[in-house]
Amino acid sequence: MRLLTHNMLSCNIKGVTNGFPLRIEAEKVVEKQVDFNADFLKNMFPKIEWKALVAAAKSMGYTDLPDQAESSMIDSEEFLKKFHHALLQLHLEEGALICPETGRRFPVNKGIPNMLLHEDEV
Amino acid sequence: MKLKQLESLLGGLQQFPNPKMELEQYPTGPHIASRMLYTAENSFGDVSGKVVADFGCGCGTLGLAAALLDAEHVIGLDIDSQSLEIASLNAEDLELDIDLVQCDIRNLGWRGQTVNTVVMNPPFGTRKKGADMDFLFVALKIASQAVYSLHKTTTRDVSHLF
Repeated sequence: MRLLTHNMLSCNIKGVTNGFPLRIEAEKVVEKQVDFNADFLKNMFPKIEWKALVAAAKSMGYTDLPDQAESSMIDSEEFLKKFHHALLQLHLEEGALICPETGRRFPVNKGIPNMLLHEDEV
Repeated sequence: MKLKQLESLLGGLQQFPNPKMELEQYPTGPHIASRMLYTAENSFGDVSGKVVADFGCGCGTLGLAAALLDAEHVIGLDIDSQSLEIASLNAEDLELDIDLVQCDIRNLGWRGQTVNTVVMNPPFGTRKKGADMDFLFVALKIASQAVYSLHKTTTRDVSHLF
């Protein structure tokens, strides 16, 4: 699972007011090369929750992203390359996503997070 | 990629060995899948370079078709782990990288309109009435650009939705 997907997922357990972002417990991280697409990254940038991406990248072992980012930074290819790497090239293969409010663990196996809720959580 | 080539690649995918009736599992045929995605891309530019989600992806046919037509990021979502395993194998076979998420569409937590296009062949609602509307509701909520969805003509009355 890429961090682009992680940036969209939240915990929807009954009663939870803010289930985003999910904390990452990374047991196995894999890097896969993807062609660099500057236009895509520039379009994606305003839709991304930056702090969540930085925190997620750190928990996957990637610390090169600046803590804060403004839209003027997308003119820098150096910045875009780091953004590209964090967003699309880092994969969480094994581990878990943790609800920030309840601590509930959603396991990730073979890159697939299991977001199914139990009956009492719906 | 030519339509015939796309159709041929999709035709080679593995499908449900034991479809689950209660989930209305059935494969999306390569003929319709290829034409659906081909039109979405060539007539509307809704696939290449975009974020595409496949709701109720099953064995991954529509999502993989999007990836073959150069979607930048594809997410397949399904409730059934066995289907997702097959989708994963299919992606590997085609040497494509797609994200897969196991979830129930009715209680999926999703942040905003972060997806450009949704493509789907959802349950028609023949087993569980209203299943198709659950899918449509969520798709319309999260897609910023377009939703492509297959439905049964006998379930056409949507007036109760509005």
